[in-house]
Amino acid sequence: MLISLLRTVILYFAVIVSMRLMGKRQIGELEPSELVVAILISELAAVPMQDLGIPLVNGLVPIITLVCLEVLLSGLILKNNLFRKLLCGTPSLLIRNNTVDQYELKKLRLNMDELMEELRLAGFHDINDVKHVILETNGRISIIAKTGITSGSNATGMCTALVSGGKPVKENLTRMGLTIPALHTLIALQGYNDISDILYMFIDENGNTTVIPVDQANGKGAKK
Amino acid sequence: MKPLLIPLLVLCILLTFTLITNAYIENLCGELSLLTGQSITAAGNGQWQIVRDKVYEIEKTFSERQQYIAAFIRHSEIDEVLLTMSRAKAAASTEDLSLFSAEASALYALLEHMSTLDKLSAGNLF
Repeated sequence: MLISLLRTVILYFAVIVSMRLMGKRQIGELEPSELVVAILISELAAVPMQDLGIPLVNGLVPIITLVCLEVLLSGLILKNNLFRKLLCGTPSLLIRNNTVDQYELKKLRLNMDELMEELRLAGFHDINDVKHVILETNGRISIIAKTGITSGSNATGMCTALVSGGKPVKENLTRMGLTIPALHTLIALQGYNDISDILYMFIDENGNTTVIPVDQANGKGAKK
Repeated sequence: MKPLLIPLLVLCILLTFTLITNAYIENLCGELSLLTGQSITAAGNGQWQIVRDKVYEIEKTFSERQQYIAAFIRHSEIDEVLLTMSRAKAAASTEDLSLFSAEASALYALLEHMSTLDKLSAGNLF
């Protein structure tokens, strides 16, 4: 048990020192590789901690190697843009000038529900309030609102999705007291014949509807 | 570039350290394998005193270096070598040829295996 205790202490300090050496960007997990390294280091430290038959060096050498590689890679990312693009990728514009980039959404395997969820989490309940939405390389979403609008300042209340991905959202229709024929009527009023032509449609508390049609040509949607 | 030199240097030191350790373990296992082979030959010729001397030498060498190699090799591997060594020693003291040959051969195989544990090979890498 004493050996177990001492190993735990040694490995604990090894992990702390490793995280400290890798710096604040590691703690902040600014890039995907940093998340991977953090998980790897904790797993590597746990193995010799639990199994006393495994030499301590078998945990320490990989940890030191990972730290060195991480520092090297982050230094290379700093110095070389091409390397940065290769390793980290580039931010993606999901909404550009109030227009949903459907090609980008498809490329990222994101659907409108997920995008709307992120907007709501950021305090934007109406897609019409945002000008640009960027999916950063660290997986977080940045939102640039239209001039004069801040998050949480939406006067139109909660928006309810009626159509998502070309299909009616039945639970929401039931909640709003709408039937499928009524939905068809709403769609027709917007100038569309078929639900499958609509990527996303929502209604706010004032009864105003917003439609994002499917862009047949290249997936770039046009806002109403 | 200076800050990048430090992790590069550390990686080089680590690599050198692992190469030196590998070479040390390989040398030790080679030395012990040779002694084991010689003891098997001596047992086949009925030279049991030589066998006992060789086994004693193997045991002494391994015990002296055990603490160091335990830092780099799984303890279960070392335990297995020690166990096989003690069985071979017992067989040598009773001059049991068949038992000694079996244990000494097992010891030889274990030492050969230990020397290849960290060897750079496709099998080890993948």
